[in-house]
Amino acid sequence: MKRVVIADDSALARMFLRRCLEITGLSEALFVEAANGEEALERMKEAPTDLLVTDLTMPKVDGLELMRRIVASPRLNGVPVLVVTSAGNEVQRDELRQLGVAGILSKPISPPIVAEALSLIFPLSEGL
Amino acid sequence: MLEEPYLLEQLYNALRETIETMAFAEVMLDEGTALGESGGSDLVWGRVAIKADLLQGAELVVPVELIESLTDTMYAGDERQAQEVYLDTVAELTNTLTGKFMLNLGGKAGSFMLAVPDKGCGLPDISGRHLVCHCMVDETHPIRVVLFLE
Repeated sequence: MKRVVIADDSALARMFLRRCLEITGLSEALFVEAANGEEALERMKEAPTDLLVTDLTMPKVDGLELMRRIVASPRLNGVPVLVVTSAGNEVQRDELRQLGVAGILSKPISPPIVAEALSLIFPLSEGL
Repeated sequence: MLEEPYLLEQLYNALRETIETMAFAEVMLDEGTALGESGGSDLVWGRVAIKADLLQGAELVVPVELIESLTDTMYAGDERQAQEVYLDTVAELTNTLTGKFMLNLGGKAGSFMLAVPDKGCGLPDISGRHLVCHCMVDETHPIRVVLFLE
């Protein structure tokens, strides 16, 4: 069973993301929520994480800083990160790509868009 | 040069796509409906500051009744949500439509960043240079989006 951490300061956004992920093949996953990047890091350290889905604009630790800390961590580096954001200028997006983000989606998202992103993160051979 | 009719068109498009995608509700332009005739006690708002050339922020004002209905639809549950959840909804809708609006501009406003959204109850005053887009949701609920300009 895959463990997915969802980070967004909006409870509605977290719920919406979870629904999309469940619809697009992760219905059996264990979802763990975080309201900011700091909480997301704590959740990721509690147990092996298969996927992080995160917003960019969050209080305390934002999505970009979260990504930097993940890449810098020997333990967390390698966890695929999908960024789902309403913002994100080109400078931020470029840095995210250089850090190795698995995908960047713009809000509002929908199940087909999420499905396509997941297919790149979890190839058919590996399955969801 | 960002002309006002173009900005209003993109603002409307962003609002429509946001609410239709997230809450499956129809959004139409409306030019004459007065929001807040009851004094604003039945309204909630979300506001997002924009760090960009020529643009300062966006604000969404919606009737409480509408935000409760949209929230209940999005949560797909039968239970009433707490007020904080409804305020979170208007904040997230504002956040999403503002980001969509900026992306719709296709870089014409230059590089941008959005702040964490703010939210509250009532009908905010409007000051400074701004554009206003009045809409109707599901032919029933008047809403207003304000774009604050530099």
